[in-house]
Amino acid sequence: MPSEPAAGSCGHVDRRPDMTTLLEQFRRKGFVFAVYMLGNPDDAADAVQDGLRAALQHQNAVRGARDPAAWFFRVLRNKCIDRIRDRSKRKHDELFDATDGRRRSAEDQLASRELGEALRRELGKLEPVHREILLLRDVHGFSYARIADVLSIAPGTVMSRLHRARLTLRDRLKDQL
Amino acid sequence: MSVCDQIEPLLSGYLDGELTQQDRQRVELHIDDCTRCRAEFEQLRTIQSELGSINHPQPTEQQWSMMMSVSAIRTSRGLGWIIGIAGLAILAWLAISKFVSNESVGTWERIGIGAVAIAGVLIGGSVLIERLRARKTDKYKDVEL
Ligand SMILES: [Zn+2]
Repeated sequence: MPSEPAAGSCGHVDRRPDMTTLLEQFRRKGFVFAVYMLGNPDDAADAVQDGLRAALQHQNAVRGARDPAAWFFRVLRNKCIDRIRDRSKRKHDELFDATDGRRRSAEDQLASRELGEALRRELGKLEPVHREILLLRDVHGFSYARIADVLSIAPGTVMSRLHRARLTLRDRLKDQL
Repeated sequence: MSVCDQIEPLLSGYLDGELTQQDRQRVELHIDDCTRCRAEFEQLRTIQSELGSINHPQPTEQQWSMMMSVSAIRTSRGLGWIIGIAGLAILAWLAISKFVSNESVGTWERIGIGAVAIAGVLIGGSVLIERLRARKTDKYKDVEL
């Protein structure tokens, strides 16, 4: 996803991205991010709604931002973290069946042979710090610089954290790879 | 530190095209030779391409529209309240002033009905203020950054 052009300073035409288009984009991408972060579509929709409201209240900041999507993801991520902090673990299990592997039924194990299926499940079980960085990179296609921006971490940290996240996922998917 | 130990941490950066030219060449040379690092790289690449192509959970129609119900609904609801309250206030003012200036009604009746009207406005107003306060602190409270 290319970053949006900077706000134009010449001429009278408002070259900044249109707010409706941005909100539409944020809603679509935001839901995928939030649903993996929260493991529950209702909570995800709720977090995205909060994020969109914040974007609407700070329209000038969003439309003038060098990278409006990064702005939105930073806010949405905070909304997700707030929810992760104060909600029960139960809800999370609804989507990802995030129970411990030894207790899964034979049927479930058969179904999870499918790599995509297994990946989705294991992604949901990763630590949030690993989950979010993998989502930003491999699902949303953010560059390391943009990831650093969203997560407020040093650019140099992105590669090592992402690598650890991938190795964790790799180890848990050993049988399917 | 073996060559593998130096190269392995760069594999993600290599996969993502985020290495300097020099590092990229080092990785390329190494994974041409080293089966272990090449195998790890292939696994990481599989994970990445799979993550990019799996069907992600989609919102229901209800969740989809709920996410966007931040602007339109709230603004129109707010506007509705303002117009409604303004209209009621005008009607009440008209009724009271007509009634109070009506000579055919006795003074005490006018005072009594006037008092009841004022009480109504006070009580209604306090309920309204309470509601507004509750709205401010509910879970859809506007977010600060
Ligand atoms: Zn090696």
